[in-house]
Amino acid sequence: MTRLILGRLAEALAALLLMSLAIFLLSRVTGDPVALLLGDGATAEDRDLLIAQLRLDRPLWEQYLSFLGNALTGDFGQSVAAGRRDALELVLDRLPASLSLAAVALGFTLVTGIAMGVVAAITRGSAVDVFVRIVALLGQSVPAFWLGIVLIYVVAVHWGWLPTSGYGTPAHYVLPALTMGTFTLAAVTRLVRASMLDALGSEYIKLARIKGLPEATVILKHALSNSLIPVVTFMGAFFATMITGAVVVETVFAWPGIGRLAYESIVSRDFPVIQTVVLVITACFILANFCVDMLYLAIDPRMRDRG
Amino acid sequence: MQKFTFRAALVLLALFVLTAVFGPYLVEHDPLKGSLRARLEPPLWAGGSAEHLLGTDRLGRDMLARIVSGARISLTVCVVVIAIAGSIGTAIGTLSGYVGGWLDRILMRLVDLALSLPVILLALLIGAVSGPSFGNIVLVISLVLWSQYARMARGETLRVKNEDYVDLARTSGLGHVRIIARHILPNIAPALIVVATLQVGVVIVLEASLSFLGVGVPPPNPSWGSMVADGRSYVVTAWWVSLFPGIAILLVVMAVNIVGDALTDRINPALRGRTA
Amino acid sequence: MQDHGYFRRSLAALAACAIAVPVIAQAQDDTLVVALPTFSEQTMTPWGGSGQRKTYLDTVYEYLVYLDAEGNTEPGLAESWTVENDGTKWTFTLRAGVSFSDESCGTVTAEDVKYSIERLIAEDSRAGPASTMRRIIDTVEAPDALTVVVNLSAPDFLLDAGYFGEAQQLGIVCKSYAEAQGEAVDTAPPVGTGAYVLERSVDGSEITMVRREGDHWRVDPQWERISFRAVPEEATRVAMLRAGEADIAPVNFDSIAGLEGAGIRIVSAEKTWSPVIRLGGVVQTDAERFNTELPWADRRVRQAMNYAIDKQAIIDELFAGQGTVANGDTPVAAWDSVPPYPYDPEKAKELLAEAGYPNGFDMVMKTFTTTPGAELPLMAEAAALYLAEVGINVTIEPTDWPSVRSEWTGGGKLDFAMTHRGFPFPNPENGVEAGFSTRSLFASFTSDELEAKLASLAAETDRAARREKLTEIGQYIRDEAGAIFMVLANEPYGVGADVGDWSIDTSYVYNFDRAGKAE
Repeated sequence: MTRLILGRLAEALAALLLMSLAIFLLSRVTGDPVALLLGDGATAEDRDLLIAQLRLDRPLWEQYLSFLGNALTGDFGQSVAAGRRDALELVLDRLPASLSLAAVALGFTLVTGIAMGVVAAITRGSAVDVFVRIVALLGQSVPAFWLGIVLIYVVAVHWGWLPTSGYGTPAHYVLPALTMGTFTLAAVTRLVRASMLDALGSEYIKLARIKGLPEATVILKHALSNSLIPVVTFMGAFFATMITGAVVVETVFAWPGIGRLAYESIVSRDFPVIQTVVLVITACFILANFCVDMLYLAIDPRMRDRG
Repeated sequence: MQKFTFRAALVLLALFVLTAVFGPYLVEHDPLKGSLRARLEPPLWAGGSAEHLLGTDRLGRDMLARIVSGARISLTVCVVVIAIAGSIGTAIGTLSGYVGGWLDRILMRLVDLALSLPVILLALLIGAVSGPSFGNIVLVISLVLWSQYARMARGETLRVKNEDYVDLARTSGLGHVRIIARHILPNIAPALIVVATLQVGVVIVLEASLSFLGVGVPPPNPSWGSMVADGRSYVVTAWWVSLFPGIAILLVVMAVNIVGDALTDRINPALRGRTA
Repeated sequence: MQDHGYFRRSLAALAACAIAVPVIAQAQDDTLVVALPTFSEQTMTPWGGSGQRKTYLDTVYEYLVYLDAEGNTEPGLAESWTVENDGTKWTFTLRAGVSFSDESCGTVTAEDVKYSIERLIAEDSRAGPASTMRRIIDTVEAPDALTVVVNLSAPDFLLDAGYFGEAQQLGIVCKSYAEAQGEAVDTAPPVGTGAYVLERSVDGSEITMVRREGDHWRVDPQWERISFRAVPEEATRVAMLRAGEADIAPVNFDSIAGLEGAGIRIVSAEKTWSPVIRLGGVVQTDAERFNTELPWADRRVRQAMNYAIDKQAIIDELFAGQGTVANGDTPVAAWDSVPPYPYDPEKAKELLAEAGYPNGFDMVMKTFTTTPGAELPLMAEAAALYLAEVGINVTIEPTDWPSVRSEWTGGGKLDFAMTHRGFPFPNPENGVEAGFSTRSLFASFTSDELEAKLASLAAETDRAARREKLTEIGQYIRDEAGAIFMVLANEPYGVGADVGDWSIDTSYVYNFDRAGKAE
């Protein structure tokens, strides 16, 4: 067990290092924030001055090493595009908004997806089943930004039930979470349906029925618990999809999260913030995957050696 | 009912491919040329003219022509991405499963690593670095999708590796490469094809999101994804600009998924729980 | 005795809460909500970033000189001022008794003004005009508490309406407060003389200002609170206007018709920016940057490109008629008499043939969006359609501003064109220099003749003669077709029914603190 955890830790570090190097190189290949910060009437002297101030005149390897060195002490540099705010502080300020939204979206996805998948499996072949599968397919084929904008217009503008955008009250979470979770909702529904169908046809279930156990117990206790395993398998991927969808959802709903921060920092070449955001997001991913793995082990120790 | 939907889906897919290949020669309007004075005209039944059956977009270009041309672009993106991501993923996965041992462990760690990186941010950066282009889109989406093939290929290879005919081939002295090429690949191919069909939808929708963020297929090329993104400011006023390409995406994705599901059932029902 | 006091105090607190609740409920209605695409750096000092922050900063900070609707100067924190020595010495007499929002700062003195100027032009200042101001301002003196003397190294007759006016970034800060804050001043609550103070700031989301107690010397604010929201997606801003969640928000031209149909009126800032297509590589005065291979190195080709595009159609269709055909790359009053190029594709083809390109040529146009400037890529595509009709095949490359700018100012031989937004400089003469003089990194078109004209302008000390020379320069740039001039455009804002009188007269003057309430 300890070997496993140590192994994971080593991998995590490797991932973080790799990502930081990749982002570092990529972001510097395409010019610098100087372009945006200089006024239009700037001369060569002004530009040189700014470059020196931002320490962009040092060789690349030196910049990277000093970034790494500082990062180890918790100093991720100062934002270039947002005054001289501490980059880590900036990112951590916005993290809760994104994480809470992802959590709500994931919760919605899981609850609705599992329910729909179970219902579809139980009523296999019926109109309900068809309906559920159509809804699931719809969810997978609609781009998130379009869905978000349509939801805003129908639910918030036309019906006036919810706020259009922004952050603050529980009501503000509804539309963004719905938009964020729709794509994975489809995936979860299909997974659960498929596994339930498998489980329902298995020997184990037939045995339980022969034993005379009530149908509800059969379904919920035995079939469902088995069919949740693939859901857990893909939990990490779902979380990843949520976070990647965050950029789009946060833009449409004016949600002050790190997805939007990442996008804006890339557009304004705010290197310190880009690095910090990517590292923080990578760390979140790794943590999420780790939790999922542990969950997996807890549910089914047999799985430990498989894929 | 099942048979009907399967057949309908097949027909739809065939239509999609035919439209992509031949469509552009059959439409009367140039999808790339518009007239400013004719911009944002509604479709025929909503107040428009027979000149533009499905209306025009924000530069006065005919929607029908663009949707037809978009089929070709979307299909091309799908095919190229799936070819690239598929090849790389399959190669890595098959190798990993076949050789086993330390190579397997390393390669699978690599896959895990790939899955724990926020690839969309890499994508944005790459897009920012070299601007939106066909090549970048393909690269970026492939980065996101290759690991699914790797995982599936490895799992399938492990399964097939221990089958009788593979044992036989090995004992008769066939080289490893031959074994992989002749016995393993053909047997894992069906599962991979299923993965590919199920990814078509993901590719198209991902391209739409990338267009929304400004790093999609560059204008004036009409990919369905960028068409939906272009129309986002007109969702209420000129709803047809986003809706029609959106419906096209919907139909193709649904068809592909129906076919993919049916194939899964046919080939190996045990796979149903393993693809998402 | 103590127990009684405690009891009384908690009772009072309870009573206060009971009263406060309905007051808070009311306050929600007394909030002007402004939805903006961005807060830029979201810092709180005038020198801490770009002029886009003036949306919220101008409710807190004030300026020496204000402008009326026609652009004429009005006294601000400076009651009166004089200029002498042929435009190199300015003396400002400050208004007495204007208090800062923080009591410890007292009233505005010359020391505060001197400090504000010096911080704005300091080397670490991130303000847009900082570098140009640094070049022209020599010294600043504060001979007495209400007098500020500014010595310039070159004449500038427009310092009052320009750099020191409300359209630029010289907000006056409290020196003692700023010094006490030290490094943290950029993110600390701002202390200014404006009618509002900061109530709360949520990073990337919201900045709310609340009205100060008592009467204000300059404005009579109707709204108790002004709440700024960062809403990057335009479709969402439009939705907010329609749902009544936002009172004021900048919108795209295409959204105007829909909004007016829904009862939201449109208030436009007139001719505040100019979408233009700049042609790279024609820096004729610098061998390193002059790309002689370019088709548009020939003046006739550049003129042809101007004739080939139907700019009025673009204005009518893409800008909802809100603009006029441009005669230059920025709105400059002195250039009003310069005639723009008419739409004449036949003439364009003639000129192209004369220049040796009867079948046109291929070119690359890079485009990106800015704020304002969401229409630039669309305009690029429209321009490409027209150019195609005279044989010029344009490949559009969407990119972003930082990438292009690096290349553009990088100093090599450029071979592409780019869409850009020109906006008025505080001093139009600086604007011309930035766009068209050899010294500027940004310039893409220069010539020996133009350098001579610019030098002559700089040396001219007579005000009237300066204006004439500026007009001449405008005519020259137009005739030489220094760029493809497109539109002098407006900036439309959607305004909700709760808002009364409100107008934007010029770029960067938002007047949110003057917004009225509807009956």
